[in-house]
Amino acid sequence: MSTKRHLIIPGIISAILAVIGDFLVVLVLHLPPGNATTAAIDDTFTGQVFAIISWSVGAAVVTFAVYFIVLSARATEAPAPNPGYLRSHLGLQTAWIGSSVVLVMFAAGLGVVALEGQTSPNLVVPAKALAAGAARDPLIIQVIGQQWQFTYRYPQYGGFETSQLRLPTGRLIQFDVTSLDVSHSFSAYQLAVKIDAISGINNVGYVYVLKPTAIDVRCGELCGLWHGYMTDVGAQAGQALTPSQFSSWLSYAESTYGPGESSLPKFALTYFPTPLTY
Amino acid sequence: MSSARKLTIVGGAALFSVIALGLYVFVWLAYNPETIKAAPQVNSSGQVTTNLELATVGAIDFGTHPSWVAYLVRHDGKWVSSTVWQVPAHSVVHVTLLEYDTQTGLRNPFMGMVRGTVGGVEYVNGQAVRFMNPNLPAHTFSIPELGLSVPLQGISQSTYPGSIANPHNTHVTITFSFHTGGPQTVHWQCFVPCAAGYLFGQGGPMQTVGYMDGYLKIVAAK
Amino acid sequence: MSQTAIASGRAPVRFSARRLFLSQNLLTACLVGIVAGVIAYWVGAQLVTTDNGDAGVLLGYIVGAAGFLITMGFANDLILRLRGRPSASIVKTAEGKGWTEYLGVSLDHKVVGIQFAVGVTFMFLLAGFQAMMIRTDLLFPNGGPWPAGQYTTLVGLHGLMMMFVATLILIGAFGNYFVPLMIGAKRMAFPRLESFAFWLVPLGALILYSTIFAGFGGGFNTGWYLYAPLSVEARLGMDGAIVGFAFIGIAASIAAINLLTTIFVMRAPGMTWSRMPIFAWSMIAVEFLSALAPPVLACALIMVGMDRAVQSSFFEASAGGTTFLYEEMFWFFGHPEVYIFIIPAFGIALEILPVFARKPLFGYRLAVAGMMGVAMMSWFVWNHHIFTSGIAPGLRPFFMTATELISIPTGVVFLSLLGTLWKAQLRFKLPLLFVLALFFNFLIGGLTGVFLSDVPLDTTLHDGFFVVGHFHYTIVGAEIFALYAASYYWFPKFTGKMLNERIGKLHFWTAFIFFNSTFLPMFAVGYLGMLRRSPVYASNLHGLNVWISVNAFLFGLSNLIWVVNIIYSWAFQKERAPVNPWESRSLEWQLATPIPADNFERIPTIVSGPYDYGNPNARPVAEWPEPNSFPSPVPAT
Repeated sequence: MSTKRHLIIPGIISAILAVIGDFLVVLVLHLPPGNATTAAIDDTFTGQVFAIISWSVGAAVVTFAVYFIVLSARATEAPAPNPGYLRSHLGLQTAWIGSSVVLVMFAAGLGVVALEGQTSPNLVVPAKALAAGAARDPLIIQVIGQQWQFTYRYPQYGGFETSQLRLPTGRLIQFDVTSLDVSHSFSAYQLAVKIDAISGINNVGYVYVLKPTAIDVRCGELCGLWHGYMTDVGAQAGQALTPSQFSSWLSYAESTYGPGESSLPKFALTYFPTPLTY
Repeated sequence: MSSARKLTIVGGAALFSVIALGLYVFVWLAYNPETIKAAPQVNSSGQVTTNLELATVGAIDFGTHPSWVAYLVRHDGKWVSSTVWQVPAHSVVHVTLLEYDTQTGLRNPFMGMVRGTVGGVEYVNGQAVRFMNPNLPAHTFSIPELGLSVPLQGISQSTYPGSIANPHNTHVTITFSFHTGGPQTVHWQCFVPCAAGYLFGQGGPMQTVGYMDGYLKIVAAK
Repeated sequence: MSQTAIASGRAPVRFSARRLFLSQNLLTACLVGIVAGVIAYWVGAQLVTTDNGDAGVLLGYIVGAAGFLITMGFANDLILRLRGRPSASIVKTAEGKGWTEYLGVSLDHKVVGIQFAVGVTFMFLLAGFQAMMIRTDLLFPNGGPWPAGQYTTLVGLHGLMMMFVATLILIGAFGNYFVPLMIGAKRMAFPRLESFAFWLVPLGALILYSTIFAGFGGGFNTGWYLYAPLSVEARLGMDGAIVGFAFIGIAASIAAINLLTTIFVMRAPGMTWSRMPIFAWSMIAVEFLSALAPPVLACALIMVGMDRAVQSSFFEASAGGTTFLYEEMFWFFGHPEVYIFIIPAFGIALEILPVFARKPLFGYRLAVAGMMGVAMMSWFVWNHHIFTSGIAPGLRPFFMTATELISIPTGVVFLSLLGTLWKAQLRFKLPLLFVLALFFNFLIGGLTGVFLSDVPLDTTLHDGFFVVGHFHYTIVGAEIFALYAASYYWFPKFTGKMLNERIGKLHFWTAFIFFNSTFLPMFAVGYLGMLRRSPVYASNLHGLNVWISVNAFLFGLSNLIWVVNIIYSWAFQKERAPVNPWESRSLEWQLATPIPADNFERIPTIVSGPYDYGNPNARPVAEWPEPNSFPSPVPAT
């Protein structure tokens, strides 16, 4: 068989495998993290695109390699002195590098486009939070990491602090994340948010929640003995509530946590609590 | 070298490895303080309850780290150094805690709020407290998975912190109760930076099970 | 062979206690090290009383290690010169000292290569056992048999020990052993430095394991990153991790300088750059990274040590330092570090492939350019490990693009694979099987890296099991499979015996199948939100974790099959291997087994490249001057 046929056959097989795989990715594989926020939708879409590209490229490389291996294994004649060996082929090499550049720049471009639309120089996670028409006046929630629990302050409502995360749908949320001691990471899976909590630094991220959902919060940076237990899940999970539910929660929270406000430090973007024992 | 001799050497090395790894696993990796079980009782209205008697001391005075702060639990009339406790599921746990350690203060004053107890209060020397001044706690008893957090007021700074081996009469008695909910194993910890000599006061005993951290095994009644 | 070495006129010089005033006995060195360490610990404890004993422990480890190394004889030459005496000759002993040579300082790069191979493989098995323990704990979603404190140390020990292994196994064992042979040199440029680099390794490993003893605070709880300020806050066990890691970094740096100099300066006549084996090229590419990156790590670790021992505040924000600085310094080292792992693996794979394909390597120059490109670009991507830490927003598109671009030179290696397989006459021996498996694994590992390089997607995947799957596919799937391939390929040259084929096939299939069945589901588990270093996880992921754990145990067993094969073939198999069983054109295969102490009696002149397989008119690789005998015939095809 000629060289051309030996290249076309695996090419066709690769194309078929790629198409089947891509269909499965789009239709069957419901990639997380879902669609509760604009960021999550973005992540899911990007994941699908990358899965399609990865599967297609991977299937092609494996198909060609397996085909060539099988071809070699099936050769029944004694190996003749082989005039057909190649040391290099400028056209092939150029085509290979050229197509990798195109694929890579496409992937990078996709990522850069998703990073557009940031409003603050401190933006940690893009979160593609600025959904069209959303009010630009965010609800600010300060996330404080400490060994080993996250607490949340609402500066726009008197600065009360709570250990329960509650936030409303349909409004831009700004997370101001900081730590009182070692490095933690505020990871809210359903929101597609992960922001490191580092002492002395205020890391900001935005999210826009589209529908009510439970929010599993876990610590995403090893922070000591109970790092794995530094979670708000199950009965303690955060909640994204409808605006009216959120208002009633606010009243509850202000009456429950409000009295403790006076002992809290004044709201600031970072805190350096004492004692700092050495 | 004969085959038999080689086989002996290989076999010996393999045996040594098994023993060494076994020691590593069973002596170090799997080590946990013994579980102290609080016996369930049923009160007059059919509610399962149990009692847990705890103490916190400024220095445990024995073991590998005698200068470390620690929790102790009363078992069979004696104070035992163990922070792994077992309580019945769907019960109310009545905790009595003797606080022998001095006030340190909270890094996050939010932890001065009593959360998750029955009635949202604790009783400090008989007085009901909902929000404690953040300079007063020596330790806290907190179970984040249950939403429980109780600041434990310490004795004043001028008094030397006592240990169980060396007690003195000054201590603060704290009582509170909480619901255990369904069967699970949760962790509990202290939120006061009480580990002297470590950065943020959070190293050492604050990160060692057996001192300022432990497990609460909530077990279904048989 | 040994008689001819003597006859060549150079008197054998032995390093012995009679000639030098410091003995080089391993046992003595251990004793001196321990005593010196204890004394230094006491001194440190007196000097600094405001910490928790960190100063004493750090000083004890460092001085103890220095005492050990000096007693082993590494300072002998310096002391001789200071006394005005000529330095001892570095000619290797003509008579082998037998197996005791492997327990001391040897100037023979082949001995040091075997020391690395055995020592680092032992560390690999130990760290692999810990992986089995981790997976045991993860059989239970609500906390397993190991309490949280031990679990965290276990994860750190596994990670850190495996980093030691991955940094040194290919460079130390195969680089040191074969690079001088492949380029036609009689020795390495700096034989003493080479041995020094080796002896730092058991020191580093022992110091790391000493951290688990309760007196040292029962381990360290930071994972292998040793992030400040958690590492500043941690108990005494952290000091061992810092010192051990620094030692390994220094060893890697020294080995790099040695290999680079050897390749640049000591090639045989006629060994032009385009005739050099691609494994040697991969050593050049990797050594730029290995020489320059570990010093940055050492600086960061010194800063952590100072923060711990003398309360400096490099990483304490409230006292004027920057917590985030550690992350930046660590990953500036950490990213080139992972390319230190993979570039030698590519070198080995591309070295082995033509031998079993019986045709030249396709795209040799492009593959070299690819490896060099990967090495250079690896300096510009490190922020992709800290996308979520709060780096300046303008840096994110840059590092994202740079990370994605680095997959272009990496992909070039796959072009070499496909081009070499095209119209090949494959010999399906074990080394080839492992090389093919390596490429399959790296394909998956590399493609999943692209997911992680996208900043928005990284927000979901960072610090989760998707990352764990990705790096195990690249490090274990590619580098450790390269280790397997290299062991099957070069075992006959190391020992004169072939590794048993039947046990080897069992090893291959169990390793390949169970490796993939263990780590492929990790991508799913990571995507579903399971984060790293946590003994508890969401209960809906229980089934997947049980599957992963069981398959991990089976993958661990496959490693035991490999070890059994090595021990059985080396010690109990009677049949000796032919001198050139794979009919390779590479220089090391043209020598007798065991290779004589001086490698070549007279350096050959190289006349053609090593990949001219399948060409009946190929020139031989080298011209061998008398009195070299030429033990194996040149393979015809």
